[in-house]
Amino acid sequence: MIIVDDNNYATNKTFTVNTIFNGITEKNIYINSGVAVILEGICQGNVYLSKNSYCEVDGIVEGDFIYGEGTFEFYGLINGEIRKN
Amino acid sequence: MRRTIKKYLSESREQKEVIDGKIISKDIFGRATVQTATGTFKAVDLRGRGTTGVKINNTAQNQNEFAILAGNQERNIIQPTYYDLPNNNFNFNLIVVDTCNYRIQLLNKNGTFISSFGSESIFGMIRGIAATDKDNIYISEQYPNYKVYQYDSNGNRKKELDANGGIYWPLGICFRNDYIFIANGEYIEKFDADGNYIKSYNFSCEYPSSYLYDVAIDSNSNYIVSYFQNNIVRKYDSQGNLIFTLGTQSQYDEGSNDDGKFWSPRGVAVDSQDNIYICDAFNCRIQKFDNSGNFVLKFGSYGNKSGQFNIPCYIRIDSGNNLYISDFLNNRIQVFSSSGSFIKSIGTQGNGTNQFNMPMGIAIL
Repeated sequence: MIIVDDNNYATNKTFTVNTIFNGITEKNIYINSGVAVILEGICQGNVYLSKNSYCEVDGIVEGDFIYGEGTFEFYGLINGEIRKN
Repeated sequence: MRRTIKKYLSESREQKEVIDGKIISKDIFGRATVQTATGTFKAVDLRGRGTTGVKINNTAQNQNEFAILAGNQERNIIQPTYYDLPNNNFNFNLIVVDTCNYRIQLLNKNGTFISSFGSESIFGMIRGIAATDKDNIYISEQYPNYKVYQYDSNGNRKKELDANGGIYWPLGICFRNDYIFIANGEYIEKFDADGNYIKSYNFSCEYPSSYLYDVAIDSNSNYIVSYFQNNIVRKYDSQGNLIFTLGTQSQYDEGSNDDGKFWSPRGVAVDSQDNIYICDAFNCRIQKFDNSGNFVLKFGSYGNKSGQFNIPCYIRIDSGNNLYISDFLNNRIQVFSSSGSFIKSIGTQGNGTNQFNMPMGIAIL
């Protein structure tokens, strides 16, 4: 199951369910454990993955991408640094 | 060096348990340390003590017997000798990409852990896997290297595969009809069983972002490929001519849960009748079609109970038409019959034996 989120967020956004995100976050994105996020929109901050989480970037991450113990695939653009911690 | 070892209680001369393991070291007295799924044991040769009936691979051995004593006990060791079994007797037949543990797990199809190899210093984001035999294992890696490697089952990297156009976006890998096929961006790359490049097939479609997630080959050498970002699966003949399309093309975020339609189709596989099985990832279900593309059945829903999924990712089918499916965010492999009946679940979340951290590719020998 996955939901589609077209909203924009001025603050940090934490995803707690599987989501295709088409909006814009002005701050950071956090992805909870057990959750997949397809990032088709824009994150103007950083993206942080929890353990046992997945992020597929089809849109743009303007900050850093911190994958921790999660995993990811990039089809879009990461302007910042890709790092584990 | 691999060995298959069966465990007996020498006191009663009665077979109590059969396990698989590998000898990881031997000391100067010939005592072996054996790693198994349940721990590490000392193995000693009890032949001189009159122990009889010891078998390896169900064949009585007149010499070189092993008895494995639980709890690291050591008994009288008389004339210790060791029997080297060929590698193909090392009894794993299920191979799983344990993505976020950065390792490849070797199990038997009952789900018993046999061995593993890899670490974070060796692997990046590993994805697909196929094996031609026990010592030719092909693994695709996304970030950071975007490569496909050939390994043996001891974890030795034998070589890196290359195609004419380069390997640039490797995901699913399958082995069929003595060939290795790799989904590589919009291409399927064909290699022989030794990893020698043969040919590239361009499967780009008329839609944007036509990257392929996985590939299966049926008995007529037709290609079944999943366009996960277009919500369609296509079957092409061996020359690359389109036979049919499953699903209806739509944008990535406009998938459908109607029968015969998909939301991010990912892993694909065919059974012995050329029926097609597709991981309908975002719908958290598996769909089955006959070899003409007619919808047959579906099973699964979102959740973490038996028979439910949280992003089914890859599917592979054994010779008995049992379906092995990586349940990505539930950290397990689930096994089903070809009619979708739940059989069993393998693994829990973690980094120990019989545990996974986001499993993806599966290979079956």
